[in-house]
Amino acid sequence: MNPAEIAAAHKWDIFVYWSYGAAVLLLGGYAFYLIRLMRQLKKDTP
Amino acid sequence: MQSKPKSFFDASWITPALGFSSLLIVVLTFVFTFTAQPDVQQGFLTRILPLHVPASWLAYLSFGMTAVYGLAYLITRRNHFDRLSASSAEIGVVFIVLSLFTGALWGRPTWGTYWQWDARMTTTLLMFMVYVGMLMVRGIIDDPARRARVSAVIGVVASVGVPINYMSVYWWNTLHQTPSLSVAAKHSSLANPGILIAFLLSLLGFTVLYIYLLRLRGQIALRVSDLESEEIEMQLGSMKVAQ
Amino acid sequence: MNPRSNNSWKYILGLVIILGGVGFVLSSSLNTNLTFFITPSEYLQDTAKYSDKTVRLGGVVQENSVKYNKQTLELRFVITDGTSKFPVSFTGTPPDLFKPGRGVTVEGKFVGNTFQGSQLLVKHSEEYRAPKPGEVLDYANITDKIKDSR
Repeated sequence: MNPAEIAAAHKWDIFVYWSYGAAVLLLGGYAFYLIRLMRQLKKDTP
Repeated sequence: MQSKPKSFFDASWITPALGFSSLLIVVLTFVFTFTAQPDVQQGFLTRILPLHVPASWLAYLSFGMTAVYGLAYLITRRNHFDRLSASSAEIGVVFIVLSLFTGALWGRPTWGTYWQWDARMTTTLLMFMVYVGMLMVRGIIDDPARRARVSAVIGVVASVGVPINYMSVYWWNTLHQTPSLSVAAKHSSLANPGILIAFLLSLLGFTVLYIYLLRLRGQIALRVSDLESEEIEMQLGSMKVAQ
Repeated sequence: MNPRSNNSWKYILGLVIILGGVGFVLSSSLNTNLTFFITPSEYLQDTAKYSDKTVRLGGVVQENSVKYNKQTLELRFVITDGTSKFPVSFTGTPPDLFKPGRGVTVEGKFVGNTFQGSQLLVKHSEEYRAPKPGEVLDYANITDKIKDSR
């Protein structure tokens, strides 16, 4: 069994990209939200 | 507000520096993950491991720190610890959502199901709900001192979920497998070098990210509580005027 | 008016949803019990308790026991935990990772001596490694690992 054969056997590999996409959206989104909130607060509280 | 003497950890460049380093490490993780050899059993799906496992560990860390800061608040009654405890719980919720989501995506192709009520998954879902509930309770209570006290008690009590969740795969028959990597037992079943490196990098990157998010969230909470006390003072002022 | 109380009904609503969710999770997990599966040996030890009930058996697919009809989707194999074994019959498409020597859990009932499965899941071990060139899989080794990790 070589790596190429194993890879061909799996039709679910797209889930790997979904997982990493979700991680980027979730963690990145949360960090982005916090950064924006901080900017806003800095404006409001000098 | 209180003005402490500035220590090294108060320097303003530290938070953005943590943010950039975590970003850098996470990008590096991606490189190692997507060049790692496929697994002998599950092929490329093994690449979900460097995301799913560190996300779960970071949820443990976040909820553990929620309890530590909660306890510190109950002992010292310093608002600083209340803010950090709540911030840590919020970050933990983000990580546990990621863990549940990647777990479902990993479970469908490997086990044949997105979700089963086995002990590991059920306790994970319960932990998620308990900490969301804790944040909801914080939203309901208006009095800051009471809010902090109740929240700290919930945070300390809820942390029993961490060891229960970790040990669930040993205590009960579960669909979920036992840990591939155990520091205590000095045991590693991660015999795929690419995945192992990606996993360790990812764990480091997520930990730095956690510290970054915690500092940022804590700073936000401080500013919000300053605004809140200003508002209360203003209301008290306007009430006096009305009388 | 207090500025926070404008928002607090949302949090109360959220808390009610969460509490309902906790109740739902507790009731659904208590129904199925915290033990996700029992091994064939555990079944034999307590046959009176489990017979005529829907149970989930967990074990390893015995080698050379798998017969699959791709037209009728009828799958037959033997599940074993090393000491006891039962013939299993299942209709449907098994998960991709279903193979002899791998761990499985089957939910179902005994019809005569055959375990009639309604849901088939793969329980894989916690071992991850890349295949070596020209490698033939060592099923016996994997079987041991799954028994350890259950």
